Amino acid sequence: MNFLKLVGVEIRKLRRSFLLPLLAAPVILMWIPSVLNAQNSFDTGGIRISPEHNFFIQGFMGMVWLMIPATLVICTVLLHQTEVSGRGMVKMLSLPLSPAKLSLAKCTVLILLFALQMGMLVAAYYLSALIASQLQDYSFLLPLGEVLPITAEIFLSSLPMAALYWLLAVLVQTPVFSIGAGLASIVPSVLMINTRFWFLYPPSYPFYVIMVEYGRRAEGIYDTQFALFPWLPAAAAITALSLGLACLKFGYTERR
Amino acid sequence: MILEWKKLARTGFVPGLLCAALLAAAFPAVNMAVRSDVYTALDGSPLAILLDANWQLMAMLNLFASVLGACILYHIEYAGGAMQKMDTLPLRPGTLFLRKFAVLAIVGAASILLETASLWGCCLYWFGGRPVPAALLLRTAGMFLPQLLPTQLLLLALSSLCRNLWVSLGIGVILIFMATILPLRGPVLSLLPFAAPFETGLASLSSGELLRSLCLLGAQLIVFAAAGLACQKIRRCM
Repeated sequence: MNFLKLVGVEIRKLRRSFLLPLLAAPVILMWIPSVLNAQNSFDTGGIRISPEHNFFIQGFMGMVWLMIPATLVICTVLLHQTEVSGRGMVKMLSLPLSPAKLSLAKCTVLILLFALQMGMLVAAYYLSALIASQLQDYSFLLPLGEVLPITAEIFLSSLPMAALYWLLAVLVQTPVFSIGAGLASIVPSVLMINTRFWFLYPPSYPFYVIMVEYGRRAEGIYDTQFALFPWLPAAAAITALSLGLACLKFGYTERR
Repeated sequence: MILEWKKLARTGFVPGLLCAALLAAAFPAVNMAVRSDVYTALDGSPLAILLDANWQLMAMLNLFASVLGACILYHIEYAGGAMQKMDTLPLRPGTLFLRKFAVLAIVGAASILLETASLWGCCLYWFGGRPVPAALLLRTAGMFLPQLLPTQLLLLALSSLCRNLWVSLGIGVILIFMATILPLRGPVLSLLPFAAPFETGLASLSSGELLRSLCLLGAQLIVFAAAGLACQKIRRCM
C-alpha cells in the first residue's frame, strides 16, 4: 500500500466522528463577538493601526493563542481514540506495513485536519468582515494577498507543535496525561513568548508569528522581523526529533 | 463513593489533576521570582496584585483540569462497555452522576486550597511588609470553589452524554475558548459557567452583593444538577 492510500484509509476511519461541526464551531463562534463589536476596531487605544487590520489581527489572535493548540490536542485524541475501541491498534500493527508509515499517515491526517480548520478560518474571516462592513459602513475586507500569507505562516509555524503533540499522544498511553500535558502546555505560551528562550517552546510559535505581523502593522507593538536564526534550526530539530521518535515508538505498548 | 475512587486508580486521574494544581500553584511563585520588582512596586493589597497578575492563567488551568477530569470520569464507563454493566446493577444512574460530581468537586477543592496556599506563601515572602488579613484570604478561597462548581457540574453532564472522549473534550475546550473571547462583564453575565472561575473580585464585595452572587451560583448548581440527572434518563433511551 502506498502512503497516499494509507492516508485515505485514515480519513475514512473518521466518518461519523462529529468532526466537522467541532472544527467549525470555534471558527464561527469566535467571529460573532468581533462582528457585533466591530465599532471597537475604530478605537485603537493610541496604537497606530488601521481599523481593518485591527479587526483582522484581534480576531486571529484569540484563535491563535488558545484554539489552534487546543484543536491539535483534540485531534490527536480523536486519532488515538479511534484505535482504542475494538483493539484497532493491534489489528493495524498485524498488517504487513511498517509502523513508522502508519504513524506518519496518522500525523499527516492530523495536519490535514488542521489545514482544513485554517481554511475555514479564512472563509469565516471573509464572511464576518463582509457582515461587519455592511453593519459599520466601512470596508473591513483585506486583500486575499495579505490574509493568505499570514494564514500560511501561522500554519507552517504550528507544524512543530503538531509533531510534538503527536509524539505526546504516541508516547503517553494514559489519556489523562497526554491530554493534560497538551492543554497545560498552552497556558504558559503567553509568558514564554516574552522570554529569551521562546524558540525552544513550539506552542508559542504561532503566537510569535501573529505578534510579529501585528508589530509590522502597528508601530512599536512588537518586533517587525522574524528572528529566523535560532528559531528555524530549533524548530526543524524539534520537528525531526518528534516525528522520528513517534515513528519509532508507534504502538510500542501493543508491540511488546 | 469509595468505589468511584477505586475505579480511577489506574487512569492517572488523581496524579494528573494534582500535577495541574501544582503547576497552577507554582505559577504565581515563578512569576514573582522572575518579575518581583515590577509587582512589589505596585500599590494596593498584595493579594489583589497577585490575583490580577496570575489568576487568569491559574483559573484557565483549573478549567482545563475540570474538563479533563469530567471527560475521564465518564470515559472509564464508556470504554469497555462498563456503562451497560453499571446499568444492570441495582444503582440509579443519577446516583452515579452525583458521586462522580462529588469526586470532581473534591479534587477541585483540593486544587483551590493548594493554589490559595501558594498565593499566601507569595504574599508572605515578597510582600512581607504588607500583611494580608487571613479572613480575606479564606474568603477569597471560599468563593473560588462555588465559582468553579457549576462549571464542573455542566461539564460532567456533557461528558455523560458523549460516548466519545474527544467530543466532550472538544466541546469543553470550545466553551472555555468562548468564555475567554466573549466580553462577559456585569454582575450576572460574569457569573455564568466558564466565565465565573475567572472572576477575582467577589470576595471584596459587600455582604449583600456577596449573598446575591452566592444565590446565583447556587441556583446554577441546582439547575445544572437537575439537567445532569435528566441527562441520565435520556441517555438510557438513546
